[in-house]
Amino acid sequence: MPEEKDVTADPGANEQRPPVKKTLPPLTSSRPAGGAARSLPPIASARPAGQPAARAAATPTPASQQLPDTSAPTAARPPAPPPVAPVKPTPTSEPQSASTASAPKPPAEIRKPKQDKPPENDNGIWRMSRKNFLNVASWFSFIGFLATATLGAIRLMVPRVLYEAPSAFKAGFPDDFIIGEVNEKYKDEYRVWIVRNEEGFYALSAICTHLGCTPRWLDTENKFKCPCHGSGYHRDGVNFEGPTPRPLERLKITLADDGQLLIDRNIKFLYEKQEWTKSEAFLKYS
Amino acid sequence: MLGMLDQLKAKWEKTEVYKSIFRHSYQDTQRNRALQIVDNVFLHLHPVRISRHATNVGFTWGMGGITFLLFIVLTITGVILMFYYRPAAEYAYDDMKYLMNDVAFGPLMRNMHRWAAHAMVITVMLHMFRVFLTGSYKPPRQFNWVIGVILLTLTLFLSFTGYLLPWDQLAIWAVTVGTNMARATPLLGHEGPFGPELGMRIDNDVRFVLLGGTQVGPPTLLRFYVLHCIFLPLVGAILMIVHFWRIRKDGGISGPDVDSKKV
Amino acid sequence: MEHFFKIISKPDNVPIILMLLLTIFYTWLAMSKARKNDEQTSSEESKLADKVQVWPYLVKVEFLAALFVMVILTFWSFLLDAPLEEPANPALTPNPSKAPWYFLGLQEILVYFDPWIAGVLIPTLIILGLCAIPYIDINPKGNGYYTFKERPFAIVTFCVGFLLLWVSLIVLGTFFRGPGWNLFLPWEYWDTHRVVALTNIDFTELFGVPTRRVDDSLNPAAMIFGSLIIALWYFVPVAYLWLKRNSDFMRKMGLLRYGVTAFLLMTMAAVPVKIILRLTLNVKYILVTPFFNI
Repeated sequence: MPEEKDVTADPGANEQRPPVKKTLPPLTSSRPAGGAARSLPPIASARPAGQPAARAAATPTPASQQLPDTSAPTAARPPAPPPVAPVKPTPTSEPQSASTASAPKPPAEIRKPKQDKPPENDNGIWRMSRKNFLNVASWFSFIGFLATATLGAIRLMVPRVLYEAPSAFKAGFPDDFIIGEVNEKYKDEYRVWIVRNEEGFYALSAICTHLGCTPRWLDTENKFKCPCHGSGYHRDGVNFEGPTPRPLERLKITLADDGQLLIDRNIKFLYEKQEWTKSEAFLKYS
Repeated sequence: MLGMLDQLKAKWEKTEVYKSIFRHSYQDTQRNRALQIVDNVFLHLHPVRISRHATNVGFTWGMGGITFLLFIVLTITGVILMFYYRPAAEYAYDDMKYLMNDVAFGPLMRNMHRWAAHAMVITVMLHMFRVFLTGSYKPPRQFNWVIGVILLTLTLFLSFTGYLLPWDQLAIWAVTVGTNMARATPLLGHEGPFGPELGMRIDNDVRFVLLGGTQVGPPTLLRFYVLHCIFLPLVGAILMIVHFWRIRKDGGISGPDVDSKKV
Repeated sequence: MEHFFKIISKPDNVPIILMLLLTIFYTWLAMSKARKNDEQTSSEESKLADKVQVWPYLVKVEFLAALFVMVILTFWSFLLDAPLEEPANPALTPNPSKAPWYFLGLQEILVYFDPWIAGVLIPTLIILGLCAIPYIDINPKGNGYYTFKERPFAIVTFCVGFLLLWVSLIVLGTFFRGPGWNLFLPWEYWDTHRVVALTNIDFTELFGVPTRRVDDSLNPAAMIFGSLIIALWYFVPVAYLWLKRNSDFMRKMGLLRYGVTAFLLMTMAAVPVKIILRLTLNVKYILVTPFFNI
C-alpha cells in the first residue's frame, strides 16, 4: 500500500502527524480489488510506482485537486496536505498503481503500521489488574446489566395472563350426540371435534400436528384432511397420509357433575406415547 | 423580459440567503461536478469518480439501487397507510375496507405498498444473484456480503410481518403456516426435538414470544405491527448505512482486477 | 387450462411471474456475458475500467432507473388491486392455504421433511451458508467480472441452489399445488375432493427392516440402519478428503473450511435426494428416533 510505505519511508512525515496516522485504516493495504482504479489516467499514470514518498502530499482526492480556485473552504488548503492525504475518503481515487499493488499477498492480512503501538503511561480501559478493581467491577456490572436487561426483555414478551378462550368447556349432554358422527359444533370456538362411537366419546384437537392448520372433516371420504399440506387422518385421529409426523391429539374428556361432557384442551393425550389408553382420553358411555 | 429575469437571478445569487444554501454555482465545470457530490450530504455517499463499468446497467443490473429506492417508496407509502390503520383485531380489517373504499388514493397507496414490497423481495434476490455471479463477495468485500445476507433476511421478515396486517383470511393463514414452523424449533419450540424435554410448552416457547399468544390472535397483530413499522425498518436502515459505507471503504463497486490475467 | 390462467393472473401471483421472467432473463444475460468474457483475454469490464465522474454519469443512470421503476410501479398499482379477502377467521382454514410466495419453496420442502428440518434447520443453514460463502470460496479469480470458466463449481452450485431449489420450488408451490397441497397440472381443475393415495414407508422398510416392532415400539435395528445411512452420506466428503489429502487444493482449503463446505454441500444435496426418494419410492423417513425423525 503506497500510503503506508510513504509513511514508514519518511520518518519526518511521521512526526508531523502522529495523531492522524493512528486513524489510518490499515485494512486499505489489503485491497487487491478496488481494481478499476488502477488504470486511472490522470493521477496514477502520473505516478511511477517506485517513488511514492515524494507524492505523499500530492495525492489528495480529485475533489481537493480541483479545488484550488475560488470560493472553496480555503482554510485547510495550502499548508495542510499531510492531514488530507493519509485519510483519503475516496477509495476510487486510490493511486494504487498496478505494480505496487498487493495482488500476490494473501487478502485477509492486516498489516500494522510500524509506528502503531500502545500508548505509553496510559492504561486505557482494557487493562485489568487488582489495582483497578473498580474498573473490573464496572465492566462486570455493565455486562450484568446488559444480560439482565435482555432476560427482562424476553420475559416481558411472555405475559402472565392470556385473554384467550378458556381451556376447559362444557359440551352439552352426551345423549345429544349421535353414534358414529364426528361433531363439529365446537370446532369454530374451541377447535375440538367430539366423536361418539359405540363404546363412548373421544375429543380430537382440530389442530393439524404438522403445522397447526385446522383440518376438515370430510364425511364422504371418512377422514380428516388438512388443506395446508395434505395430511390425512382416520376417524380415530391416526395419520395415514401426507407429511404429518404423528396422529391428532386427543383431549381430556370427562363427565361434569351436571352430566354434561367436560373437555379440557390443556390436557392432551398422545398416541405415540401410548396415552390414548388412559381413562381420561376416552369416555365410556353407551 | 428575459434580461430582467437574468438580472433578477444574478441578484438572487448574490444574496446572503442564496449563498448560505448553495456553496457553488451550477455551471457545468469539472470542479462543480465534483462539488456536486462532495457538498451534498446524500450524494456524497458516492465517490467523485467511479470506473465506467460501474455505471453500466448491464453489469450491475441496478438491483441494489432499485432495492433502496423501493425501500424509500415503502417507507413513504407505509407512513401514509399508518394514518388510517389501527393495529387491533376489531378495527384492522374495517380500517382496510375503509381505506380501500372511502379514502381518495387510499387504494393506490396500499397497492403501491404491497407491490413495492413484493418487488423489493425480487430485487434483493436478484441483487444477491448478481453479486454472486460477478464474484463481488471476494476479498475485500466478504463482510459486506454477510451484511447483505442479513439485509435479505430482514427484507423477508419485513414482508412477512406486513402480510398479517390486513387481518384477512389470506393474512392470518399465511402467518399461521409461517409461524407454526417455530413450534418445531429444536430446543426452543414445544414440538421441536428436545423442546418438551427442556420444559417448553405451548405458552412459553419461542413461537409464543413471537405471537404473544398460543395462536395467531390480537396480540400477534400488535406485535407484528410494531416489528413491521418500527423495529425491522430501523434495524434495516442501520444495516443499510453500514452496507453502503462498506462499499466505499472496500474500494467501491467491484471490478476486474487489472493486475490479473484479465487485463 | 382456462383455470390455470385464472391462477396465473391472480394479482398476488403477478410478482411470481415477474420474478420468473426476470430470473430467466438475468441468468441468460449473466451467462452470455460470462461466455463473452471467457472467450477473450480481457473482460468487457476491464475495457470500461477508466474513470468517469459520478455527476453526471452515475447520477443520471440512477435517476433514469428510479423514474423507470416508479413508472412501472405506479401503473402496476393503478391496474391491479392488492387482494383483500374475508376477515380473519381462525376456525376456517382456506384450502389450499399458502404462506407468502417467497416462503413457498420452504413450504414445499415441508412436504418432504419434518417441520423442524424444513422450517427451522434448512432456513438457518441457508442463511448461515450464504454468510459463509465468501469465507469458504478461496478461488481468487472471477472477482468483479462475469465469468464461468474460472469458477464453474461455485456458479453451478449457487445456480442449483437459487434457481432449482428456491425459484423453481416457489413456482411449483404457487402454480401447481392445489387443494390439499396436491399436485395439479396446468390443465387440471383444482378439485377440493381429489383423493391421492399417499402411503409412505420408511427408507429402512425398503430393505425389510421395519421401523416399529409388533408392539409398536421403535425397532433399534432400523434406528441403527437409518443412522448408518445418514453417516454414510456425510462420510462421502470425508473419504474424498482422505483420497485427496496431499493435494494442493486440500492444503489451501484447510480442514475447517473443507469441513464447513462439505457439510453445507452434502446437506444441500440431501434436499433434492429426499424429494426424489419421496416422489419415486414414497419414502417418508430415513431415520426415526423417539425425539426426531429425518
